[in-house]
Amino acid sequence: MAALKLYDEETIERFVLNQMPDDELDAFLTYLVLHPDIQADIDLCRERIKAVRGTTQTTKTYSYRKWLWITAILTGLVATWFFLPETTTNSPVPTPPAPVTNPSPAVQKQEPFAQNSKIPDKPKNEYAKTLAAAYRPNQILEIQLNSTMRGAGIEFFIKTPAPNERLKLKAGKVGFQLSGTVKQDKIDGLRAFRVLIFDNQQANVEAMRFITAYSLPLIDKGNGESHFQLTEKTKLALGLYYYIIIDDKDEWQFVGSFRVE
Amino acid sequence: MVENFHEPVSESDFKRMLLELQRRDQAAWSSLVSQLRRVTLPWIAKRLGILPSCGLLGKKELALEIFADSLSKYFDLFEKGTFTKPEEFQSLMFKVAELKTLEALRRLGKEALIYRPQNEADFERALAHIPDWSDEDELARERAKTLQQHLASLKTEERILLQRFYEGEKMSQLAVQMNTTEENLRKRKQRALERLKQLFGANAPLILLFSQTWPH
Repeated sequence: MAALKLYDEETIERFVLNQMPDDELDAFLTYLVLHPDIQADIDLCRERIKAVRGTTQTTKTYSYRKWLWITAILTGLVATWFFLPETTTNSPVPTPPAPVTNPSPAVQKQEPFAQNSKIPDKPKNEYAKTLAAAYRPNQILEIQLNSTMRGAGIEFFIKTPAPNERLKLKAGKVGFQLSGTVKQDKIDGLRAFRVLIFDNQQANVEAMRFITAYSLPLIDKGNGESHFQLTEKTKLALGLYYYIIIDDKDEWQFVGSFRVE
Repeated sequence: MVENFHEPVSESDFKRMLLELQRRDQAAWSSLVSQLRRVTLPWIAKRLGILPSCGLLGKKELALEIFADSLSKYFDLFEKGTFTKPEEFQSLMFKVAELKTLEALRRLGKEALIYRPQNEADFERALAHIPDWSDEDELARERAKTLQQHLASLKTEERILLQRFYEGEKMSQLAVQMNTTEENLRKRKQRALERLKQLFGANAPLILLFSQTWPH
């Protein structure tokens, strides 16, 4: 087993950044278990790394927002007609395949909130609690919200739904409309993504128990830029929902949210 | 010494191992740590694999943090003499890892608030979704804010060096890109970290004040 000779910042950094070979890692972890006083130094190193990374990621987000605003102002007026729901019947967007409905019982349990279903006789405060739970943000997904995943070479600019947009429930269904543009680094990029819709339950996200999935075909605009538009009537209950755009390798590319009210 | 927890372990071997662990025998702990790393670390990494990312840490980095937390818990349990039979340890092995994984996942939302600079209005809005925000979290955020101010006061090239290094680029790659030597970059990074020492003043953990020698 490799002997650890130095207890210095570099050793701790290599540990935190997971850059140690196995034998050195075992030795370091053994030392850590037997000498928990170095935990404070490890925590400090981790704090520093997170603070540095947090700053970089925020800068990226701000530049993305700025770009989004400029794009929206320049192209908004010209492009609005294209994205209006009325024009979709004549638009050249290929008809997406029928939605794949996940028969998960966990998801089906959410149905009591559907507008046309009879509300069982329960105390009001119990309903308020259940309703509050249906709108409670999923903290893990909230971190990923409205930003393109790092290092993917793909950048999304979502026009609709707006962040946390409120969709009205009509006869137990909502009109879910997803439109925007995507830029891909690869010249021969993907021609379609998939959109998965999840409720706010972390267990469902972890088990990939989505409520509905749609294909999201892309229309090439040249220079690696494509646009997409999806309009679907989706059966959902009241609550907070997340849509996740994934690629052909099931890698997550974008996470957005909307509320059904 | 018990060599593999996947295979049946006799009670006498287990008791001998317990004594060695409670005596804080380095070889016994080293063997246990190595076995646990091989078994539970991949399990934790798989558990995190479902997530697109893990906040400000990479999945493997977070998995290692969770594993180190779990080890600390195993240490406490062994110290307290919680286990008397090998089956008791085997049954709790993954439960501890699961518990620590859930704790880490719960921390992710808070960390986004602590480490990502944002204006106070956004912060207050985001805070409304985190009901168990504690004084300790607030303190951590204050420290992160101060650290970010100090980072901003570094020379641009030092800041960029730290950012790119912590984003996972290797010193050797950075040295080629910046047309300098690896040793030179290490010194620059060290100087940048020296400047950050001021952040914690007299209460700084020793690691920031001195270069220590690993105890033999």
